[in-house]
Amino acid sequence: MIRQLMAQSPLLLFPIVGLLIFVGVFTLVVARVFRHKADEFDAMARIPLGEDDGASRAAPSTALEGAAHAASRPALEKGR
Amino acid sequence: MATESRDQAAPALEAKRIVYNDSIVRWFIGASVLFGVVAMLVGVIIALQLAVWQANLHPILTFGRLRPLHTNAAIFAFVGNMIFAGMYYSTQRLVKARLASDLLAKIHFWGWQLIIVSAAVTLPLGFTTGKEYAELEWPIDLAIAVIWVVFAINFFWTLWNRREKHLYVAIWFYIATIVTVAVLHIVNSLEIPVSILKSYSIYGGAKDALIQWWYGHNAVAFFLTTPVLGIMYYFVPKASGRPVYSYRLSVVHFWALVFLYIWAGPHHLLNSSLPNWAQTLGMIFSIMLWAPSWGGMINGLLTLRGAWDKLREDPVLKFLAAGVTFYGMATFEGPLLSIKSVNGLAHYTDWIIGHVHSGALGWNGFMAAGMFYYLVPRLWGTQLHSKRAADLHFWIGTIGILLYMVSMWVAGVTQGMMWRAQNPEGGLLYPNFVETLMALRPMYWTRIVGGTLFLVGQLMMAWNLFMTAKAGKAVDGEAEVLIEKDAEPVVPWTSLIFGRPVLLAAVTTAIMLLAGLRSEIASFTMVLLTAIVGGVGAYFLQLAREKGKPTWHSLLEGRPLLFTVLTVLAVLVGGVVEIVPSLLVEQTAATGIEAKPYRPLELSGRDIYLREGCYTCHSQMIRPFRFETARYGEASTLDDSRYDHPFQWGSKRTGPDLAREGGKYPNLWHYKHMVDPRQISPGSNMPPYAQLATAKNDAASIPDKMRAMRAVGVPYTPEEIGTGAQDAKSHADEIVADLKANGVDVAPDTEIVALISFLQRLGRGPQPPASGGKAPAVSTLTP
Repeated sequence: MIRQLMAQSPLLLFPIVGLLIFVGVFTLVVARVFRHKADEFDAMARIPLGEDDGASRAAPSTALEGAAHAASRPALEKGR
Repeated sequence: MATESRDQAAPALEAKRIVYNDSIVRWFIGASVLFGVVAMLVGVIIALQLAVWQANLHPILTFGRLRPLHTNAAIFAFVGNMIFAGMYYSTQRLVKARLASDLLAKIHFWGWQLIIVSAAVTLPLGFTTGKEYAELEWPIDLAIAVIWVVFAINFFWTLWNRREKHLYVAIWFYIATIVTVAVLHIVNSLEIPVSILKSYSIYGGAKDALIQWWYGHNAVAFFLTTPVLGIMYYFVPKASGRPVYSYRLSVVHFWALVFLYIWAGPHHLLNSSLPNWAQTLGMIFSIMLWAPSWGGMINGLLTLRGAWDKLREDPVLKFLAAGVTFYGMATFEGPLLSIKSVNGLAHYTDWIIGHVHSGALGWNGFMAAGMFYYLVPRLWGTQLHSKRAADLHFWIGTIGILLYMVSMWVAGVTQGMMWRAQNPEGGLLYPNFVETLMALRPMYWTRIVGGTLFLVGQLMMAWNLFMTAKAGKAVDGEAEVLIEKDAEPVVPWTSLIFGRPVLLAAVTTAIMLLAGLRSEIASFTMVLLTAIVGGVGAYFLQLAREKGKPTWHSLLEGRPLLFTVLTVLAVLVGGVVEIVPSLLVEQTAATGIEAKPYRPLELSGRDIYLREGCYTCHSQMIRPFRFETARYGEASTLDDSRYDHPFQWGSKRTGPDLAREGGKYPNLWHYKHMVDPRQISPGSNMPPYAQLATAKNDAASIPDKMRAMRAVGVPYTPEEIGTGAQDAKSHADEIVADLKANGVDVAPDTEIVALISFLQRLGRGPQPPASGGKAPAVSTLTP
């Protein structure tokens, strides 16, 4: 079957290999993501909620909390 | 516990107050609202022109010239300014850093507005490349590239300055947008200039078709979708006060969407003369797109879980929830339309127009409205001027979209069915194309009502936002952030690039590549081997993982540069596998012995065809269906458009296909049809082009045009270029003599003569001169 398919055009190699690369990466991403429990991502999911909406609603304490929360996680690199 | 050890090693923190650059956000919002009104107003005008031809008031305001203005204004001016506002606002807050450069932001803003104004001037004046959604001529293309780079520098510089280490999912979508749009724009806009505002695409025929729709499709993907998804991931949680439903799903959503979207371009070319396998590829990937699109849509909607009651009260949430719902509808419909048999019915009809507008008005328009109603009160430190007006806008807009979509569905299915309807003898039941157009009139009027309602809603929003801003005072957001003075050492980039998951992916990919090279991909052994290596590798990775340490992906999310590189790779895989075959397709798929370049006058006439935007209503691609070949002639081949720079296959038939128009009617028919379409074709909605009968054709530029064409691979010889002007003149004399013999006096140097010569050439080779004609032998113009 594969030979019949390739007989249509040798260029079919490109999309087929590309498809396999996609399937490989996709499987890897899904496997890696779902190996972790959902609550392990809670801190990341809350990033938008932990800062101010503007001067009129500035809530430094929230931002401080957010920053402190970030700092409590394992440092990934120097803060810049 | 790991927490204790971290507590002991907690870095010293220093508090710092930052003020966000929100003035740039205010400017972009203003521009988006203003250009949104313009884009929608032009939309209503061109909708009216389709229902009432008299609405083509002036030669520079015809449908063919205004339609590109409408699409460019909607995409790049309305949505463009909206996404810049959303990206600048949310990025600063998500990374807890002020925009890196206020100057670059200003250059970005004013540069972008200058580009928009240039488009608004040049498109009605007829300066166009003739490539849908990429009509702007080369100097403006260059300006777009420069301004995009300015934007990218400022964005990545801001990421560099960030105080929040983790890059939230919205930022990933912004990164994908910035890098992919750059790639798409550059590749698709490669062109050879003829003059300051005229160029030819370096690609021709099927190559150009593939690259153009790779661009066109992904302009939808990475300009109208990914940045707005990023905005969804930021503003829906903000407005509802809840974190995103599933962060894990957002990770999968991102990678799947970025990987898959880029492949689906060929679904715009189904049932064309493109090789069958390329069409099937586009179809399959489009159907696969269902999954990530709906994954994202569900993730957005379920973020509102437990907050559904707020929908009743909060106009912001109403717009955002409806916008995400329209995204779900549009991304359900898209793959459906990509199924070849469905596409056979829907393509070239108004169904596609309805589909596009469910996305543009429902998804982009409503997400923009939700974001603006959220932002403007905050950016001016006040309350929304009128919540009732915002509610009314929501309902008027929703009814407008529904009227638009439903009328276009009905129009599309009606016309598609009429085109293919057969009489008992097996012939076409509606052989006259105009019959199928006149049947759509009521739907065209319904669309005008729907579009006008949406425009009214947009005007109400503009008023409401203006009054809100007037009542308040511009304020910039502030935040106090903590900076680590002595942070832990940075994880070296090599350990990420050469991390175990990457190596495992590389090994499994290598096995698959090996299988591919041996053409035995389907071999059970190879698939099994790949699965075993991947599975066992993943298992050992799990075992080797140190508890409490960050995962590879979470490390990656803290490294924007690496993240960008990997995103580019994901995008390029799809791009390369689609584009490389398209560049090679000529050698493998086209037989290419019959194609002959256009004669000089025909080339000149073709530029008039491009200038007037004829491709917005006429296709040049006869599909291999019986009902198409019965109406238009033999199905199109790759050879037919081999020397078309750019290709003109088109995407919509408000008028009939013209691929085999040559020789179908006498010159007199074309002349009269051009001057007064309804004299020849009662009921037609084509604008009159009487002005072409007096406008002088630009014959002086013919040699330059031929030279440019030669530069992109059209086999004109230097001799042919040298005698080009003379050949054009004798060709014109021939047509004029024929017209004169039929009672029409027209000067040979007029545009209408050049256009007729082009139309008479379509679908056939160069014609021998009429008896007594003085045109040089055709063979002198063949390679």
